[in-house]
Order: sequence, then structure tokens, then C-alpha cells
Amino acid sequence: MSREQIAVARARKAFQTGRSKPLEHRIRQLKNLQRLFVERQTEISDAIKKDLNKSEVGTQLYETLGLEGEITLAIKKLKEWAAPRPVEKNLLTISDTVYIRPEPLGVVLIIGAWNYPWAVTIQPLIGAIAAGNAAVVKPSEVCAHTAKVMEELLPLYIDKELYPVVTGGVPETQELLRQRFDHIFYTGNSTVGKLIMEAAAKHLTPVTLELGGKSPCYIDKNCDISVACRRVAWGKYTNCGQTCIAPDYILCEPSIQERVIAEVKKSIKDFYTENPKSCPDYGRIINQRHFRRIMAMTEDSTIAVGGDNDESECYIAPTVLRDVKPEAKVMQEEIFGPLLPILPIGGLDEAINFINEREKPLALYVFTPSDKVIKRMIDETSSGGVLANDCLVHYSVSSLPFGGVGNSGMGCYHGKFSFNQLSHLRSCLIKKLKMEGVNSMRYPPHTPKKLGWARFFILKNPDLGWLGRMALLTIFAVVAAVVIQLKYLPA
Amino acid sequence: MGLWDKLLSAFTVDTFTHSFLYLKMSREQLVVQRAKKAFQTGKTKPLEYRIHQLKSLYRFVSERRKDIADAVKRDLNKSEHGTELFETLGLEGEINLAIERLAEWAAPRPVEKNLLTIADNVYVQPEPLGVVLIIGAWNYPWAVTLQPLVGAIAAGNAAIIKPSEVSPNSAKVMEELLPLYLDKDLYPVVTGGVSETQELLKQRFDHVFYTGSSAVGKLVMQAAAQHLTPVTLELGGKSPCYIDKNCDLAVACRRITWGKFVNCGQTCIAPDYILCESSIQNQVVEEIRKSIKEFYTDNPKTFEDYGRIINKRHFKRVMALMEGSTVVIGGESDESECYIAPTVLKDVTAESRVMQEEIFGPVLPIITVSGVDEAIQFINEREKPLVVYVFSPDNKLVRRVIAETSSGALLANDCLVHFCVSALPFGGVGNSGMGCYHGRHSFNQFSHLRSCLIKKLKLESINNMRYPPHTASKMTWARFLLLKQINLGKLRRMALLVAFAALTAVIVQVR
Repeated sequence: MSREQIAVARARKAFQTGRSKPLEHRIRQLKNLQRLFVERQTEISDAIKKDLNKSEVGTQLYETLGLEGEITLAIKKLKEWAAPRPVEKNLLTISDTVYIRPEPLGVVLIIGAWNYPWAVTIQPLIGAIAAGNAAVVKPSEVCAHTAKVMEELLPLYIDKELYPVVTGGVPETQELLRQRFDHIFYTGNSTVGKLIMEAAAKHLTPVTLELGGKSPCYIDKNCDISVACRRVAWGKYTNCGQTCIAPDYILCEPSIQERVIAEVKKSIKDFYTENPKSCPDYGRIINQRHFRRIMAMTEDSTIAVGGDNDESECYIAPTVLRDVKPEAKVMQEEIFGPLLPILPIGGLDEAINFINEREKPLALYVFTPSDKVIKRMIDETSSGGVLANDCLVHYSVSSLPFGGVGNSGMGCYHGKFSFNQLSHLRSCLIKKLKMEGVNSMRYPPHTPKKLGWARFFILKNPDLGWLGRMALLTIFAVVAAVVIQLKYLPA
Repeated sequence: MGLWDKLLSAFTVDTFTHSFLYLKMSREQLVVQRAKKAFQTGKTKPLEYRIHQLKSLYRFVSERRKDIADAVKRDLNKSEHGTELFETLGLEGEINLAIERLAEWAAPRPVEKNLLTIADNVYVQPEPLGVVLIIGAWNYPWAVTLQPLVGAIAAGNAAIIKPSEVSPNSAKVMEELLPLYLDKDLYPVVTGGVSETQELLKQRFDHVFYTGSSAVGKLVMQAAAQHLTPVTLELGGKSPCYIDKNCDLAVACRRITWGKFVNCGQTCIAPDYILCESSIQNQVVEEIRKSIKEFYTDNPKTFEDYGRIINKRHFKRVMALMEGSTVVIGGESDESECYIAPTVLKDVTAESRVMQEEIFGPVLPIITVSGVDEAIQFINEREKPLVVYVFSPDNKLVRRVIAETSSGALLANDCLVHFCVSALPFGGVGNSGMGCYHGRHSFNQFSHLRSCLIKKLKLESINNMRYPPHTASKMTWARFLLLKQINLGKLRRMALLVAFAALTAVIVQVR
């Protein structure tokens, strides 16, 4: 048996003991995970610095803070999430117990990505643990240092049989994908997403695919361009543009292009100083392959800001491209780097058309003071999520489902959605063996009269809430009438 | 552009190529393209339009009751009343529910805010996915093909409907009549067999909804993967039925008999096999015998409300399953009519043929077990079924079965009827499927639930804590605002109390 087969088999055996099911176990594991982030901050930051040149505070802000929040939320709400969920009854089930029971799926596979290795690998794990599953964690090999730290540290805090870390590259991942899981959670690109889903199909394994795309950013000429560009610049150059929900490109009218360029330039200077290369808060491209990929994209466009680079450090300056054409190289794939193309377009109509001609993105950004413009954008386009007048921050709202649609993915998570995504929501109907008489209408021989009764029971969908209230009101009215009568009855 | 240029451009190579390609397009490609174009006009978005189509669908079901019943009689020998009870009644209920609740389902859904979004608009907006493909099955051709359609229409999609060719009469009637009621570009019916279905599956959809077998389910998912199309798979499996020896066996067996032999056992949620202790096996057999006689008379073959196997292939398949097991009730058959009598097998073993696949026929094996422990183990050694049935008066036992097994659904003390509770999500897990539908779940399944966060360009100073340079003090602020999960409800109540107390104090003072 291969190493991967063994890890999965062990996880399944551990799951079958039933020990991941009690809420106390799940909470304990989550609390241990919490301790990991408190106690091992330095090791985590060091590894991220080596992988992505992110500063220690940057790592906290963008990777571990969100995780801490999600773990705290899961611990606090687990009882509520895992409890049976009563549902609306109908006339036929009025005396029965009817509810949805969240249950673990079994053994899930979590395939992480390299851009926010802790956030996108551990956040799904939180949901997996909370939902009572075992989980095989496969960190991305592209962020080599972090993968190593994850492999070393996780088993020191959480159950190493239930939640093993399996490191490796393409062949190891393929071997993992040959095993049978009860759910696969993948974060990465659409091309590999298809392969994952195909592999999952062989076992009828449901999947969550958090993919990417080119997230458009429309800037209305009437908005506060200074603030807008500040927020866009932050959203773009965080992690050197290597964010699945980074604003990929800007659409704006030609009349404001100069201003946009100037404001973005100003924000770049505010954030990353005159020399981003030496600024501790400015990152690096993950490796040389991606460095070359991104640099090649600049070839047929005009650089308005930045453009300087250093292959030996995988450094690309915060860059803005102007007057970019739809056919340009930079518009043919998700950039995932610190290049911000501006495409001048005629107005909102053209922007909407442009967006709709392309694959549905993970995020859609629109900067405008006009509610009407926002409404049109939302109504006439589709995307995983929509954020007006800011970038990235919808990610931190755990009551919002985070996920894509179409090419940008399927399924969603964060907060309760993580729990639901990695659970089976099982319908339960508990009847009694009494009142068999009511069932006569369904048994053969099928007569019109019986059918009439069935019709009544199945189609009359009274709002039992309303019915209940009416019943109460009637009783109240009767009691009131009785009381009044007694009071005013002539002696 | 001058006239000559215009004429020239009309005859460019592009035009020729386009027309040529158009002729080369398959029927399925054309249909999908037309549906996509129709969807892109945006006419399915307004709720009035969707309700109008749903009302038309309702009219279809009520006006064409006879056509539908005739088709089902020819396909499955179901009686007219049987078709109404088991096919169209549920459908009518679902359509009515959708019409009644659509405004509520389609409305933006506000979500809980946090400190950072306290002044923002935060909600989830349900949206149509686009063009969906619905592949129906043959056992309840109307119910399982049109119920998903209700959800697809309600959610604002276009939908290609592919009825099963195995129930050809129903497929034909659907193909002929549905376009008389529903928009034929948005909701076209595409009939055909394996090759037509494969051609359909090559096209790109925004969701594929398939009802059928696990084997084909895998192929559907694989095809969908090529386009990153999400799928709902309503599959099957062997739904076990545990009978506790302490329950009212007469009633239990009556309900099981009904659940099993409806539609000649060709129901995805039919109780596939019985598990019970050997001490009650004989009684179980007798009670079932009694119920069979009560429901289907002494001669089910001539009885109007007893169905037939869909075709010879399945007839032979089901007959072969009986080999090697002891027939204790029924067993008679007539290949020329695809008739198999309501049949019960006793003392069946786990290795017998009948236990190797989903029966999907009127054959009810009884397997004896030593008690609920062994029953639970037996169930867990097998694929997760669509439903687990347990008959017992003991709540503790029922809870044990729920806690220690997994299945699409669990129904205690009856069969099939959870299907009619539209508030319960109907679907499988593991080999029995993925995704779910019925009622609001259909609407959600065919929607994209899009997160919307509408902020303003004000209060930019708060954002300083997130901008570089990242300092420790900024980090503290971020930590506070992101991690303090204040219960805003409680906060509001506290605020109200404080206001009330202040007001009271003022009033008392003034007085």
C-alpha cells in the first residue's frame, strides 16, 4: 500500500471508531488548533516569510487572524449548528417528529493552495472538524516551507490519525485522488479543478471547488476616486496580487484613467514607500515559473506605473498598465500578480457587456456612490460574490457564503457554511404506528373518494403558524366572552 | 460603411463558415444554444414570468390528466388513480408551493452583520444559474422529470428536459404537449436514447440534474466535470428496513407492503429488504401475505392497481435475482406481460443474488439478524442508501439507528411518505447521490446564492488599520474589530434598556 493509501485507511478506521462525533471531541480539537496559532506564530511567520516574503504582522493580518476568528466562531456555535433542525410540518405530519439532522460525511480530503497556505488549507479543516469528519490535509507543495511546518506542527496539536497531513507534489496528489473520500475540498485553479472533479466522479464523491478567474473592478467616474483607488490598490497589491479575490483589472471611462493612475500611484507610495523592493510589507512572487508567467503578460501593454523587476528575488514592482486592450496578453488569464491593467470603456453598459462576455468571476467589484449603478451591476451580471466600494473584505464576513459560480467554482464555505458543506443534512421523519385509519386513502384499491382525501391532505398547505394563531385567538375570544358574561350577568 | 462594403461583409468567409457550422450542429447543440439565447434575453428573471410559466405547468397537469394517465398506463400499467396519487398530486403540490412562496424564496436574504459591516448592506441574493439540464427517469416519469423543472423555472433558469426513453409513451406525450404550455425555447423537451443523452452531456450547462442509477451517475458527473458544471444526482441503492420484534407487526407490515409493491417495487425509496429477528419472520411473512391480498386481491395479475415491470430486460433482471433464495409468497410471473407477482423471500443470506444490487422490483427479501446491533452493522457494511426504514415503538432504538447509520433520509414507522414533506430535503449521500430538492430546496439547488456586501466610500480612516505599513498597534485594532463577535441583538436590547432607563429617570425627575 502506498503512503497515501495508508494515511486514508488509517483516517477511515479512526473515523469508524466514532470518536470524531461527540461535540466535546470536536471542540477539544478546535481548541488545540487555536493553541497552535497562539503558540507557534513565529514558526508560521518565518515559513511564510521564506515562501512569500510576507511580514510577520502581514501574516497575522491576512492568514491567522481570520483563522482565529473562524475557530472561535465554530467553538461558540457548534452546539447550535450540530443540533437537529426542526422543519415546517404539514397536515399529514402534524403529530410527528420532523427534522433535519446534520451528520459527518466521513473522511474528507482538503487540498490547499500556496497563496494563503494557512488560511485556505486550515479554514476548510475547521469546518471538517466541526462537522465531525476525519480529514486528510494536503498542503500545496509550491509553498514548500509552510508545507513542512504544517506537516510538523499539526500532529502535535490535533489527532494525527483523524487529521493527517500528507505532503507531496503532483504524483502524491494523484495517488490521494485515487482513494475514496466522502468529500473533496479543493482550492486552486480551474484547470486542475476539472481534474479533481473527474477523479471524484469515479467514487461519486461530492466536491467543493474554490477556483479563480479575472475579478473585474468597475470604477464609476462619479465616485470619490481617491478613496476608491486606495482601496483597489490595497486589494490588488496585498500578497503581491496573489489573491483569488484580488481585483484583476479595472474598467473605467477614459476621462478618469489619468486620475485613477495617479491615485493608485499615490497609494502605492503610501503603502509600500518609494522603494517597494525594500519594504518589509511588500511580498514576492511565489517562484520563478510564476514570475516569468506574469512578466510575459506585460509584453504587449503600456506600463503606466512600476514595471521594474528582479528575477533573482522574484520581485515585481506594483505595476499599472494603461489603455489595455481585451486582446492583450494580460487579459487572457487570471493575472495572480501585481499588474493592474486599466481598460477604458464607454460606461456602465459597456462594462456590463464586457463582464458578461467572460467567465463568471469569483468576485465582482464596483465603485460608485449610486445605488442604481450598483443595482444594475448586480442584476445584470453573475459572480461568486459582489462587493461595492471596497475590495476583499467580504471574505471576513463569516455569515456570507464564500465561493464561486461557473468557472470560478462550486460550493461555498466560511462560518456555518463550512459546517454545512462538510455535513450530510439528513432528513428525519419519525412517525408512530398509530392512526392507521388515516392511511387508508393511500392503499389500493385506489378510488376517487380516497383520492379526494389525499388531495385534501397533500394540497391544502395551511400555514400552520397562522392556523395556530387563529386557534389561539378563537380561544381567547371565547374566554373573553365567558368572562364578560360572568362579570355582567345580572345578579 | 459604404453599400459595397456592406455587401462584401455579408459574404465574408466568416458568414459562410458560420452557416456551414450551423448546419453541422447537432439537434441537441441547437436546442441548447437556443435555450441559452432565450435565457440571455433576461425574460426568465422577473418573478411574474416565472409564476406565469408555473401556472401554465399547473394547467398542463390538470388539463392533460388523461393523456398523462394513458401514457403511464402503457408504460407501467399504472391505474389512472394510481398515476394521480403517485405522480401528479405531488407535482401539483410542488407547483402550488412554488407559486405561493416564490417572492419569499427569491428575495434578498439579509445576514448577520459584524462590527465592521454595521453600517453596510449585507445579504445573499439568489440568482438563476443559466441553462440547466434535467435528465428524468422512467419509474415515475412525470414526478422525477417535472418536479426538478418546477425548481428550475422558479429559480429563473432555462431548462432542457430529457425524459427517459425507457418510458417511451410518457416521453412522447411530454414532447408533444409540454411545448403547448411552456415556452418552447426556454424549456425544450429533447427525447432520445443513449447517444442523444451523450450528445447533450457534451454541451455546456450551468447545472445538471440527473435521476437514475449510480453507474450512470458517475458518467454524468464525469461529463459535467469537463465544464465545471455542478450536479445534483438522485441515485439509488438498497434501502434497508429493520423491524423491531416489539412493534405492532400488523401495521408495520401493512405499511411496508404498500411501500414495497407500489409501482411494482420500481421506486427509488422502496424498502429494498427486511432485517428482523428470526422469531418474528413467520409472522412478518403472514402479515405481508394478508396485506398483499387486501391491496391487490387474490389475483394481482388481473387487478387494476397492480403494475408491471417496465420492460423485458428488467423483467429478466429481477427474475434472475430470485435464484437461490426461498420463495415464500408469490414468485409467479409472465414474461409476455412483464408481470411478476408480489413476492417475498425468506431466510435470505447476504451472499444471495438478490442482495447484490438494488432490486427495483416486487421482490421482498427477509434477512434474519440477531437484533438491532447486527442490523446496524449489516447496514454499515454496505453503501449508504437513499433511505433507512426502522419500525419500532422504542424511541431509544430509533435514535440509535439514526446515530449509528448514514443514509439520504431516515423514516421511522412508515415507508415513502417523507417524499411528500416538502420542507425536508430529498436526496442521497455517498453512492445514493449528492444534492437534494423538493420545495425550497429545489429553488436553492437551481440558484446561485450570491454574497453581496454594499459598502460606502466613507469612514476611510477605519481602514487604516489594514493598510501597510503593518504595525503592532494597527494589528491590535484589527484584532479587536474582527474578533470581537458582539451579539448585535443583545447590544440593541441593551441600548434600548439604557434609553428606557434614562427616559424613566427623566420622567420621574420631572414628576
